[in-house]
Amino acid sequence: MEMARREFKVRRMVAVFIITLIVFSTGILLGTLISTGKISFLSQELEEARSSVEGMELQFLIADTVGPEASCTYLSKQSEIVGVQADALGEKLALAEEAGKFGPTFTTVKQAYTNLLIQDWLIFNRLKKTCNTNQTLILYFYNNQNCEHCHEQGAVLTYLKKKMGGQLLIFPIDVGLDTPIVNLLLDIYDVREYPTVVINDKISTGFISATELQKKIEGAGSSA
Amino acid sequence: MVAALTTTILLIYFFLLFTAVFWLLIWFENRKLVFKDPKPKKLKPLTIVIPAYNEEKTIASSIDSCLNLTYPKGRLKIIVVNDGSTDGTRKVCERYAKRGKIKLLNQKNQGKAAAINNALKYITTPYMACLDADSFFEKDALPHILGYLDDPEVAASIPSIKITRHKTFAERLQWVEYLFSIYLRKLMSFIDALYVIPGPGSVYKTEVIKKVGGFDTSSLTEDMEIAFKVQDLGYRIENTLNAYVHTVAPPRMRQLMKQRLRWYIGYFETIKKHKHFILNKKFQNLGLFLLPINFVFIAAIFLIVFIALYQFLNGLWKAFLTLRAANYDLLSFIEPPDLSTFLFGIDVMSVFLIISTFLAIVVIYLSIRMSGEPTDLRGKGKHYLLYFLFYFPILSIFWIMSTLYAISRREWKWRGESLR
Repeated sequence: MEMARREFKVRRMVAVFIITLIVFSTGILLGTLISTGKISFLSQELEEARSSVEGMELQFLIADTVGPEASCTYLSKQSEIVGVQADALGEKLALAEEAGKFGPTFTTVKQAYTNLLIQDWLIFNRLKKTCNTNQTLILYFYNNQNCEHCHEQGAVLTYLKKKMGGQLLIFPIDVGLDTPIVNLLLDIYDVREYPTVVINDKISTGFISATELQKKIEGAGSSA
Repeated sequence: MVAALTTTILLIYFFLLFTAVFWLLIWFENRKLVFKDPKPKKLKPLTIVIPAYNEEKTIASSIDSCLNLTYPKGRLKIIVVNDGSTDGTRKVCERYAKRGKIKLLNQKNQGKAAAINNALKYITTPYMACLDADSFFEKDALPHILGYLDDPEVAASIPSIKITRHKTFAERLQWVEYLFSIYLRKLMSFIDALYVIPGPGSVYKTEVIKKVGGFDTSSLTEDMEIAFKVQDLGYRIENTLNAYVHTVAPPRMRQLMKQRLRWYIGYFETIKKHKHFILNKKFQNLGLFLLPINFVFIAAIFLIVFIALYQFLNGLWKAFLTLRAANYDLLSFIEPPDLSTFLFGIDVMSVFLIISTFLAIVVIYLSIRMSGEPTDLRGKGKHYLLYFLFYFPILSIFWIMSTLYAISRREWKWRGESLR
């Protein structure tokens, strides 16, 4: 009876393995559920952001017929909301991407988000022309693989955004997404290297520091 | 690259989870027997051997506590072996020897194992126990330990070991560690997978110790070595939770490091000497499971430390780049915390962390119960916190150092500065 205690019981090992597998799988399952929840949440926020942009587009149509003055106040207000929504989405998406190596990927959401950003960029460009707003629009092309200074460039832009507030609007485009519209933009601006930054239509290739970039922004503002 | 990293982390996690579940299952299988010890049929004569090297301050109280133990009169003998002390140890002991309370042996400084072997020549009692000069049994400990020795297959019986002082940082970590060891040791005894008979407080059958030729004087960890020797002859080792021996742990990090390096390098040494145990059917749980698992554990420690270091340095580098990109403007990084953004950082790893924390709490709770400690954490909350935060990183470093040392095959001589 005593010697039986030292017996290496295979059945016991199997039981331990099964229990461990259950606990482990539960963890994976919960993680996947959390990721799915995040995707739903982000999709919903995307819908809301899209309808804000659509509101602006409608207003532009009205402005075409009636004239810009009445619309510009509304449009400026709306544009603030649009900007905030896009930023919030971007932050959450970045976090979710960073954390979620498992479960469903965020690619679809990210593609929709990038499309939204491009929509926003177009709208803000139109806003500049129609209502003469003083904002600087920066299109930022980056890559997650194979781009040595993209992390730093992102940090530079985040820093400047904090410093310059609403005057600076940044639209980060992950070229790894490989969608037709992203490729179209890459063609239009003839982007070959990453990071590349387009400041109000002026292209700047390669990494650019905060001080340099600020100079260019201020320069672009005065010459516009 | 990222995929390989994630897979490795998951595999390690699965393995650690497996071992935690294994021990919990062993506990569950034996939960009703945990505090049951056989009653000794007879309290046979027993000799306590106290090797002492420069212990003039503590040797007297050590001997006194032995003299006060609950045991039938005339059946408890004490032998003190003065291992070439250069202080007043000899004088203190001679006072006791003169009154016939102890037998004193004086020898040239040769280390603990040699001291015990020396005493072995003079032991006439069927049972023997070893005690360090700064350790002591609780008054009623012996009867609980001895019941197991009635079984002819049992060579040694181990009590629960706790440490007396727990003021310094290192002592607090070890205090909790010793509680966890109580948990693990009892569970290992249930499946006959023990491989250490700890120096302070263990009781042996004298004939078995003599049969294996005493303790190995060339070993760094003679208490581990003897465990292998007796099991090689087919004997068993048992453990009781109802008897306590209190010992002293190294109070400073530096001393702790020395002790652990000795223990862990000693482990490799002993395994090398008794490598026929590994994957040997004769030793069932010990040979087929525990010893092989230990190797996987060590590999896991290397990987975890490597990955953690890599992530840490990577994070540090990225943080530096971010700071530099922002023209070193630290203020720009201060942001109010946002709940929804925080929630987006939660993922599978966070879930696993929560699961692990839960399991760790269960294990520590069981350790506390099995050690007879109060579950309300009375005054020991800080100990547990420090243990959770620092124990594994610190011990991992010691394990890595020891493994590298062992692999490098350098001869590591133990200078007998003290018998610990």
